Amino acid sequence: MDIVMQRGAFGSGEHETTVSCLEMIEQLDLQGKRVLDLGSGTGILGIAASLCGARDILCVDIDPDAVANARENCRLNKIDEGTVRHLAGTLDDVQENRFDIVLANIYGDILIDLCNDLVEKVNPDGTLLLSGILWEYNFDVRNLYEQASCEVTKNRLMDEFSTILLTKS
Amino acid sequence: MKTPAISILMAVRNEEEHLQAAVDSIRRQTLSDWEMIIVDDGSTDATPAILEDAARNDSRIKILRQEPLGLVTALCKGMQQCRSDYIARMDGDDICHPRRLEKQWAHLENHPGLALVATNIRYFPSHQVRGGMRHYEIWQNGLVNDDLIRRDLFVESPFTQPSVMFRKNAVVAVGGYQENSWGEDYDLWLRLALAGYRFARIPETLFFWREHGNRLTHLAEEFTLNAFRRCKAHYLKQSYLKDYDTVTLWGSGLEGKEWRKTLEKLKITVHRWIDIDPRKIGQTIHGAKVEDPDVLKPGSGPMLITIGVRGARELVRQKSAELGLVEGVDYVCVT
Repeated sequence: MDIVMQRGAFGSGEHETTVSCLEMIEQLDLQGKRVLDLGSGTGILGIAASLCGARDILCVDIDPDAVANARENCRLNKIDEGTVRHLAGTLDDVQENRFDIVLANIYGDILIDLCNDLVEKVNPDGTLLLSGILWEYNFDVRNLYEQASCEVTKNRLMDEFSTILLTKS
Repeated sequence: MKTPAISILMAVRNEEEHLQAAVDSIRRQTLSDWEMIIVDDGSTDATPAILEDAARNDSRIKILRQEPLGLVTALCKGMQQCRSDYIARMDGDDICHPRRLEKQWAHLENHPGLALVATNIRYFPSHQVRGGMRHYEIWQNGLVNDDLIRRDLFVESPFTQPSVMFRKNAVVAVGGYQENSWGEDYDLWLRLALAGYRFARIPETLFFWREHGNRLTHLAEEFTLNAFRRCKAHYLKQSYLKDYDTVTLWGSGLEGKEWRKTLEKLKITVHRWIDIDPRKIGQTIHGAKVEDPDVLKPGSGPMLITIGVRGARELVRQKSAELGLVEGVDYVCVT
């Protein structure tokens, strides 16, 4: 997958947790899917989802500068403005529900705090790709999302971070 | 039966909430040639069931039970069962990085002169971690070799107990875990240090230390500041202060006064105070004069740094270097 990224403060896709997400996104069936990217940063995951065929992607980041950066990266990658939309805010500001796929490359303790709200945003049989999870949070995140009626389908552990792929039942 | 490369020693009591995660983090280790001895110290929750399940699923895990007799008894009992000379400590609520055992084992294999190897640690979850703990984490992780560990040996416990791997023969040689009115871990590190054993730290975060409101360190009397002072004083009397019955204390505030009381019980008298506070200089506190740091000269008897304020240690070191004082000889930091 070829993605052009601006250099900046929000990570340019070389971090192990981002690489891990990109690899998992490539293996997902995204054709025509609705995607929520929470903590979108540079927008790299949303761009990747778009390149993999996703139809409608909502990128959300709490930092307005990150959102501006993500917009610019979408433009650089010639992503249609109707495909990837941007929102500066938190999960509470996302009014829409029924996403097919939720991408969240944020910290493990935030994933723990947001568990129920995040699972609620996903369709039954939908997918959650959680990353940015430091090792010490991996077990707790899996445990909590399993309790919230999700099933772990992949658990990838890297040097410092981990990525968990789940299906909502 | 072949002796495993490592014996992991864990003692638990009522750890149902986090035990599974802790055991899982051991089962995911890259080095798989280990046995795990878990002593259940009289748990009354689901801990025994979790342990039975773990032992059933993994023949490397062995469970011992005892009435609630306490941590030291549990550790001694477990250590007797450890077949390897390399013992990795672990607790029932913490998490190991998957390469922890591999790296610590290799370090001890490659450094036969070391008795114990620690790693960098990180507290979690982050919202539970308060300022003092972060300072402790940074301080401990900064003790990257034996010289620095020894220099700061009397400041605080230099290792997080469940993060270390030690040689069983060294620990046995200094008397193993012992019951005292202070923390059994710090007590053991000090005995190892005083017996001349050497330490190291792998400068990688291989251990994650879970913080929660009810962890033993907050509750037990053994871990109060006073117990720490008594423990330090006990071992200072056997080492740095061995040939002395008087001492200078630099820091005449509340912490210094507590130290005076603790030392007095060991028949060591404070004969001089050092303080930078101009209102205190020239005064007499408990029969000893308060003097300016500028009067200090090398080779004029032992001095303990007893300033309770965070950050003071570095200022003292700076000033002492200017005065030609040598740490470990002319003074020892105990706060």
